[in-house]
Amino acid sequence: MKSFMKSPVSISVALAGGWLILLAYIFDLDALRTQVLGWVVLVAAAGLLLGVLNLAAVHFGKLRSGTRNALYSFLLIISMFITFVVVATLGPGHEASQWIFTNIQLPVEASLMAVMAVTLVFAAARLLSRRTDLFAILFVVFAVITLAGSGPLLGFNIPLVGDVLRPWVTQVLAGAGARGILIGVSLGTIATGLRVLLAADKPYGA
Amino acid sequence: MNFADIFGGFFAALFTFLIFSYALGDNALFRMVVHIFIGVAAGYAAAVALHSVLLPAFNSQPLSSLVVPLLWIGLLFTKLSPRTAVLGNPASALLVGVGAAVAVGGAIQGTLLPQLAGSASYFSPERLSAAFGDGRFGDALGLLFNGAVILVGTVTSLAYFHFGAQSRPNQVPQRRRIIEIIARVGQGFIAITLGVLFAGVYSAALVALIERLDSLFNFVGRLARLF
Repeated sequence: MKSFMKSPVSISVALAGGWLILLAYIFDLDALRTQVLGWVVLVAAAGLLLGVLNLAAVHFGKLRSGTRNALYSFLLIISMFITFVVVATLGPGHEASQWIFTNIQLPVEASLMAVMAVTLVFAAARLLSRRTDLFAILFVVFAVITLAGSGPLLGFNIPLVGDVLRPWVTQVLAGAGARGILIGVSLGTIATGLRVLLAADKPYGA
Repeated sequence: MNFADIFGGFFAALFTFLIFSYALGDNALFRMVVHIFIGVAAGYAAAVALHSVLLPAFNSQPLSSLVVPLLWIGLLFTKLSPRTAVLGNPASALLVGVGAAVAVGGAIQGTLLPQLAGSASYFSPERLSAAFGDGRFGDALGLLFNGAVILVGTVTSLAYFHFGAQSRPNQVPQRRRIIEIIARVGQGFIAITLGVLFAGVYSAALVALIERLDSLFNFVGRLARLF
């Protein structure tokens, strides 16, 4: 009640918007839901622009203060500005935009993923050296079974692993754990969402 | 191979090398590439939001139907200045409220109900009676066994995340013994699941590594043929 008195408008807007969408879900009010969601998508897109502007402003501040890391901020602002101007004026489908995506974004993303191949091996080895309990052993054993069964090893298929053990492990054993985790995540999402819709949580500055 | 190809291939190869330098430890060149990447990704996302979401909406609809979203967008942009930021709180509240409702609806319709239905499908009378009716007793028993394993795995994995504990005077709060045992079984299922996920991520990382090395060799080979 105290926080409602402090910022009644924000809380009312959050509750009205949230319950409107939730009731439209329950009572199948598709036209209303589409209309409100259409507006909110536009506001969210503007929010994304605002976030990028804020990122640029933060790095511009770092650049002006001339700290040791100013060069990084300079590179970030320049690359952001050039990409934004090219993609926004020519469109994402234009050759120049595709060039940026194919020759900068894609190689860097793929390279970061590739570096993970090395770091993951170190992480697994460190896990076993620091914590040798049943669960760490289960983790490594089933990771090895899944990897060994995913293809021929030096041109040789390990009997039963690829065609029997791996499918059973991935679909039944790991499937069961994944289902538990997913159901837990969805219950957590529902609880968090309801806390916002009941104004118990107010993560919007109220 | 035109100039844009050579130039692009050179950049891609250079960035790949600089990212790979992380294997020797965190360094300034790696951080430079990461900052360029963040800049490009943020600029790209902002440009796509403007070009594919905002501009088409403003070009295709009459201004009168855009008054409401424009009002909210205006309020949101007051957050650019610390002095007017408080005016933007209702717009943030709208995004959070609607986002929470969409998340609740999505979690129920997109995850909870399909996962429960998927777990129960192993005990579906149609599937079981079809298997028993055709005399495929092995298949039916296999279905029941797999269903039982999935049921136990799902329930125990969920129980692992149950952190309700009874507090006793002068003692550390502890879960009930039965919950503790069930949670231990669930921990085993979670360890197996994470092991399988690790293998999947590792395979994807290896594929990315092979693709990057292949593209590097390809670029060098094409460059060598050119000269």
